Amino acid sequence: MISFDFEYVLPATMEEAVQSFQHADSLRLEPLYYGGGSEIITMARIDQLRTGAMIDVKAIPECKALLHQGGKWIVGAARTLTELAADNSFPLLTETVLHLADQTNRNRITIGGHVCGKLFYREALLPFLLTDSEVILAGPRGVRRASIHTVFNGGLRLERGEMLVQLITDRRYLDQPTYTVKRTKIEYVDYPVVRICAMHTGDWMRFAFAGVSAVPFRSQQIDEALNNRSLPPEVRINQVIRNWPLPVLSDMLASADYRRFVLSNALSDTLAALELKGG
Amino acid sequence: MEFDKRECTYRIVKVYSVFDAGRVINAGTARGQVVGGVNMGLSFASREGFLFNQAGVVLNPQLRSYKITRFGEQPEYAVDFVETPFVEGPYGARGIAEHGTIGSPGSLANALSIAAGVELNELPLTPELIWRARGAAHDLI
Amino acid sequence: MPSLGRGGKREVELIVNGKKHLTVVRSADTLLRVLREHLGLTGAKAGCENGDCGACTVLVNGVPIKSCFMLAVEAPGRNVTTIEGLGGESAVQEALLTLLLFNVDFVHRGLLWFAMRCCNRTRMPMLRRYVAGCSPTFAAAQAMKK
Repeated sequence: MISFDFEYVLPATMEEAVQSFQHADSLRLEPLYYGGGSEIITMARIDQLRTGAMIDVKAIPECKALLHQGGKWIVGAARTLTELAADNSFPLLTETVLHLADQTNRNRITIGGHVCGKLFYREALLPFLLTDSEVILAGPRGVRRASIHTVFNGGLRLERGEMLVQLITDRRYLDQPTYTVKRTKIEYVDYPVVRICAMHTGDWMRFAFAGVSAVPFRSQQIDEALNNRSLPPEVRINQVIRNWPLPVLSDMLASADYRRFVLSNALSDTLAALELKGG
Repeated sequence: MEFDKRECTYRIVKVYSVFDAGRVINAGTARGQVVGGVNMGLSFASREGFLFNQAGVVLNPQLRSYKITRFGEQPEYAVDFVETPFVEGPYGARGIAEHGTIGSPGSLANALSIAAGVELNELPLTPELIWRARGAAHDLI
Repeated sequence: MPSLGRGGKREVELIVNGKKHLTVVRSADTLLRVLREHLGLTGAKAGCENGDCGACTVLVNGVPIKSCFMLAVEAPGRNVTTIEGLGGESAVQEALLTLLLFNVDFVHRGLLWFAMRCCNRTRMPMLRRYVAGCSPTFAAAQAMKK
């Protein structure tokens, strides 16, 4: 059981949510925005997290958006992974989500909680990195719209009291040739040792990674290196891995050496698949 | 068993278990006992194991970090018995409680050793372990 | 603005298996704990209480979720169905019993929910046929639907 008490509020609007957060913050309650609860509750139960106030975002209308409008696909932060997969406007996202956690977890995990939470894998973020999506954030300084790269690529850069409201994606990226691969330690349902999402758009391939390093990311340098068709694929891959921009993780799932081996094979499969689909 | 030589991953397709039960009294529960034991033994052999830090603290005390096989991951089980009546047992029956669990890690390791072309005698038999045993050094970049 | 200052206990109305229940809970109480300890519905089990084993699975508005990581204070306004709500006569329970899973117990309940959920949608014809093969009542219900 969770050993400490906390406030629980269910605001009806973005403004109420942010105000509640600020109010709780001023009372030094260390508030948190609450989505599906899978991370917050499990961590609170084992005392890895302590909070005096939870602000549930699931009743905010903008956070429940799931629609196409003006050439954009708009996804609210309180939508669950299952709902996004069922919607299937973005097949790459669907495929990524269906190999992420198990079904009953996906029925609760919200995309907002998933990309803003403490678990660093954020696999469902990768497709949005590939589409150069925009995000709507609400915080003490108001509502702002920003590129996903400035806020989520390679780490979380939210301001205090800021919550994710929506992800906005240009429709033309939703049905490009794509590929995703996830390698785990051994079991199908597990955190990734390596997860790659990739897209072939126009004459250019885009790549995003999770599980290899401590943050999910997409990198200009890696995109360029892997698109360098003057070199054979193995050479491009070796180069990319040798110059990996972040430390490669060594943990209970895999050692760094093994991770590099898995990454190399996964990149090889990714390039082959994209050349096939995009060419 | 299907072994991927490139990835060092594998899939257990079928498991054959034959035990001397002395005398099978309830065929359903005898089969159930073996199937359950084999399932547990294979789970133990392929992925289970506590990981400790320097201070001896268990690092994987949760089911999400201490993995066991899930429903749907099990192989096809073929179970049979030979009957050499055991004079002291009820109606000639022997105990077969743990045979499935005890026998399966060895058989998995043997099968993987043959498939991977290298002697494997450590548990759990994860792809990383197999990759290392096969001489990982030359795969390093 | 929703007022803070209710960090202690509060009264909530839960709708479980079609019946309304009024109970006092902490914000920190999970749905699982409240179902078991306040309402006496011990069908959902506290297996790992970590979101990993599925023994606590219940349906919330028809969707199977793990009740060990949902708060009771989130439940008002939502229909919760526990295994007790199936009445022991559901076709899937019958099918599972037929498959020699002697007691539909503990972690099997999570499986049961998944199977039920699958059967209630049209996307899993194989599973429906499988369950129909194991359960005469399910097969009959299917035949009637056509």
